Amino acid sequence: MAKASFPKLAARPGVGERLIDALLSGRGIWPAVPAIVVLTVVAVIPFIVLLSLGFSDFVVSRGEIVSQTFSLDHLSNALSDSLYWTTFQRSLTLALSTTALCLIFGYPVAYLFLVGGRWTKRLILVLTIAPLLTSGIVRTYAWLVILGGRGVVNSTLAGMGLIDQPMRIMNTHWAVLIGMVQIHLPVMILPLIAVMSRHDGRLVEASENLGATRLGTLRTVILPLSVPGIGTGAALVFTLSYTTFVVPQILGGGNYLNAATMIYEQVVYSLEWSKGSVSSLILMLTCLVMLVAIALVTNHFTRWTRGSDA
Amino acid sequence: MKFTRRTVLGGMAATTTLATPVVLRAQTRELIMVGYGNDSDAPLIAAGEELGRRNPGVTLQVIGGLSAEALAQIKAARGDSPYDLAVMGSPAIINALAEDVLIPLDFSKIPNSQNVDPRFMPFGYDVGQPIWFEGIGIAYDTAKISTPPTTWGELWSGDYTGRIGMCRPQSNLGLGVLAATCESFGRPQDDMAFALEKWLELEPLVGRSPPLLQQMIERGEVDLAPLWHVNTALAAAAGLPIGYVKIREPGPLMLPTNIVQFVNTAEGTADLVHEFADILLTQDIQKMAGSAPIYFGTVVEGIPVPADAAPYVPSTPEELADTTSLDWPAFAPLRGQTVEAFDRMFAG
Repeated sequence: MAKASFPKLAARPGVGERLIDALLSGRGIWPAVPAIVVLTVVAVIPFIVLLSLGFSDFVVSRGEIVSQTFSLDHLSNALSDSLYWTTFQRSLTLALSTTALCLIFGYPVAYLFLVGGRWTKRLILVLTIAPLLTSGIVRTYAWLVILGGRGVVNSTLAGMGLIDQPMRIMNTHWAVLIGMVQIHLPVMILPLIAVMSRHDGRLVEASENLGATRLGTLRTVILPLSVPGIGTGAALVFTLSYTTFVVPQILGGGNYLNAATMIYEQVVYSLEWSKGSVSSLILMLTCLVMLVAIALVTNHFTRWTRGSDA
Repeated sequence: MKFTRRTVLGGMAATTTLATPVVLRAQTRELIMVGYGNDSDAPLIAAGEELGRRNPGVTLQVIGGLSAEALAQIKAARGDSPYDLAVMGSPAIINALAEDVLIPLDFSKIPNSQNVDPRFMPFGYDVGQPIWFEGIGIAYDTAKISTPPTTWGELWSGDYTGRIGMCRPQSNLGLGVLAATCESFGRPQDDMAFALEKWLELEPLVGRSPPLLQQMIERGEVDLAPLWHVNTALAAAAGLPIGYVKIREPGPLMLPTNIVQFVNTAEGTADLVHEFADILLTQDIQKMAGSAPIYFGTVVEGIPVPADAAPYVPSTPEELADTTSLDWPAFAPLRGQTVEAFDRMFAG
């Protein structure tokens, strides 16, 4: 009896080949595994260790923790302490003000990018990205020169005869706010540009052909389309501003305290890590709540993109 | 495999090349210390070079930073200190002792310790070796103040309200100034609430650290401020119009700087740390530390104060007799709660 012949099957790929295939195809979580490992090692585990200190009383000997007992005292003390409430309220106000001002100043730039010519677009991109090429500390220090008692602002105002004595701008909330807006403005503009440059230009033409004014087109077409960019930019700027350390440290002076500087002092100078741990937890949770709020608002204003379900 | 002269020589060359870094590493020992991170590191570096000459293969790496940050790093490393030693002010030693991260020095292994003025030794609190001192005085803008205050009490005369700067109490300077204020008004040096109330009356502008306070004077934001004599001397050496008063009642005030050794240092570095401390107390290094532009106050007996250091360092017999320090152990442990009280009053 003659044997039946079957076409030869392709050889089964090896483990390495299957892994590379999975990585390149984007199936599962494989592409994110390296980042997850790094984040777990350098962020998640240390943060859990830090948090554990906030919920315990511990004894140190020769630098090592020799005994640790569970305690909620540090958390309850923090929540009943007016200094914490004042400090976090200040941080929140600063972050929200910075986010709002970055949006107010950044949106027109992104709009100009949308409607401008080729050279305008290039100029805006260069001016937006160039500051990011220098360190935030350097940019913050530049404000010392500008806002100081003998700085550019005071010298100009005095030269124009508008003031007799230098205005005190440095070491105030206003100096911090000015510095924060300048530092974080590119972080607002770039997502706006990314979203707005994806717009279908024919929508704007259609709006104008249907008789809408430029302002009407901006309000009813461009602005709704750019809401995802506003949401992304606002989330980024808020997070960076709420947790900022350098700008208040340099421009705020010694009597300006925000959440990040308070945590730094608790950990480094007072060596009270339980307090620092609890403060970090409050900072993280409040930041998370605000990010969820921003996401909900963004979703609300983009519900029309979900078709008939909206 | 056939062994030829070429393969044997090639093998020996390869082995030598591969083994060289290991051999060199084994012969090299590096001490890592926390220094100042500025020109003040010069005598430390010079002493490190001398240590290297005496012990071939030994090097000293001086890393700028705050001793408080070093303590936090050691605490974060659960006692596995990334540093072998540090320069540390007396109040920081008290905090470090509370954290149990110091190994006491054996002063019998530091022969030059015998030459140190006995007034300074207690400020090492039996664990650190005093090597020089810094003074706390008043730095002022000479373009705006012609007659500076000479006593702490004069700061409250009304002439300086709204014109003065102060440092946060997280720094030794800020904490020391509060204690001096208490002393000036006849209160116990640890009555920090009283001192903070008195400073609030002056409506001060606050600097986060002594260098930032120094910059505030340079930028014309404040007309005067309590400052380390070393910061003032460095600013004046740069040509800035800054004067200095060795303020009294209490004063002239000094804070000794010490060499301390951290826990869990690499095996075999303890002897080097002691030898390094001994070198720092030699006449050459002390003279270098006491001269321009640093002008540290020297602790070894018999070293004259250079003429150009006299505006900053106690030099006359009266000044030397009156030179004093503060009761750091009484109030240094209050640093954390003083910072909190400060924030409640000044950053509200």
